Amino acid sequence: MNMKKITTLFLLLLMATTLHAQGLQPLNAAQRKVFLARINQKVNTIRTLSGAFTQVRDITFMKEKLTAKGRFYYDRQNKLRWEYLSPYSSTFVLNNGKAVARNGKQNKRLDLNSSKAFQKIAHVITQSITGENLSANKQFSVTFYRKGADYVAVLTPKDKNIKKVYKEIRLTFDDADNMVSTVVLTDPSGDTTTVSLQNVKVNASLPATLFNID
Amino acid sequence: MPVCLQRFSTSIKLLCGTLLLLLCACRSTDSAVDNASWLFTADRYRTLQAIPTTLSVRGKEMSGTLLLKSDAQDTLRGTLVNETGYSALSFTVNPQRTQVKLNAVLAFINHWYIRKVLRNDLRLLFSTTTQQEGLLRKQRMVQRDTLGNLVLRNHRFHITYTFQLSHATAYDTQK
Repeated sequence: MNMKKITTLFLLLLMATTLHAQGLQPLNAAQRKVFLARINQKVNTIRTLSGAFTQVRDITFMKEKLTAKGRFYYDRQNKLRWEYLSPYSSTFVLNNGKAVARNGKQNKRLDLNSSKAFQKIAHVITQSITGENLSANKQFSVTFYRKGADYVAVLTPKDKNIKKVYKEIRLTFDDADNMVSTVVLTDPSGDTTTVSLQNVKVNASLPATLFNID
Repeated sequence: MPVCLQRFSTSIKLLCGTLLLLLCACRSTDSAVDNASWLFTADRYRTLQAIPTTLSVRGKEMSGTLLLKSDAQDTLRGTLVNETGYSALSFTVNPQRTQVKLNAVLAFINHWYIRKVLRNDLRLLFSTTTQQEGLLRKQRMVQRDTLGNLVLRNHRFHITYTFQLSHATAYDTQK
């Protein structure tokens, strides 16, 4: 056996050990098919989502775990409002290719259509909330696992622009309602941002003013 | 000893003496810049602070939050985080404020020439004392705008950094 084969075997063994340590059991083809069917069925019923979130950012070089809390509102028509309430107030609104960031006293409007990269990133964020497009994804390679009672989809970027921002996106689906409960974003430096969604309401009526970018 | 050699020796002694005096003067100026004189004092950032920040490069703007914290040795650590959750850059400033190390820079802007400009801008920003506010130094100026924000303008590369210090918030952290 040559050195290359030994290294590959070692890496596979290491990967299997790591996944096992995380309690992740890979899904076989049949399980994957059933899981995707359930998720797609659920996603197709979603028009709006709203709820609370807790975001924990683990910044290794600062040796800190930063917790922020807030509320989110999602509309299938490419609209998202991400509102931080603590420790500081800040709002980010996406509305059909345009975005506004309200931070402190300032409003900053961003035209995402002027940058393909930001457009893709915005798309990834909105998709991560519902878990849509897991099956036919040109931008990510997706692997599926079972973790206890829940399901986990690990998305590894194929797109060069997304690769620059995210190393991996991990979506955890609640087995009870087939909805995304946690999103873990890992950036290229290895820092992670864990977003847990709570008290999620499906198809509640959301006022259009929430997504106002003016 | 010939007269010309004597004169040369005297000149060397004078020169050495002057250099020594200048060195002493520089040392005393350095030691005069204590922690309390910097605009970003280490003491103020013992607890991690989130500062709303805007970066404008030739008219194109990026907004986010600067997370800044100093450790027990007065080393400043900062990271600029975008609203969409990713970190644009992170850096470390040494306690003497003479060196800035860029620990990570977003791939879109991770080019040696951009890193150099960012490093120099940050070094000037964090070494600026209250007395140097409003002074043009190395084609850069740190000053307050009408809203009370701290603004660093790099006139050479047309970059403006705006820090809303009055809206800085202590962050809830857990080790």
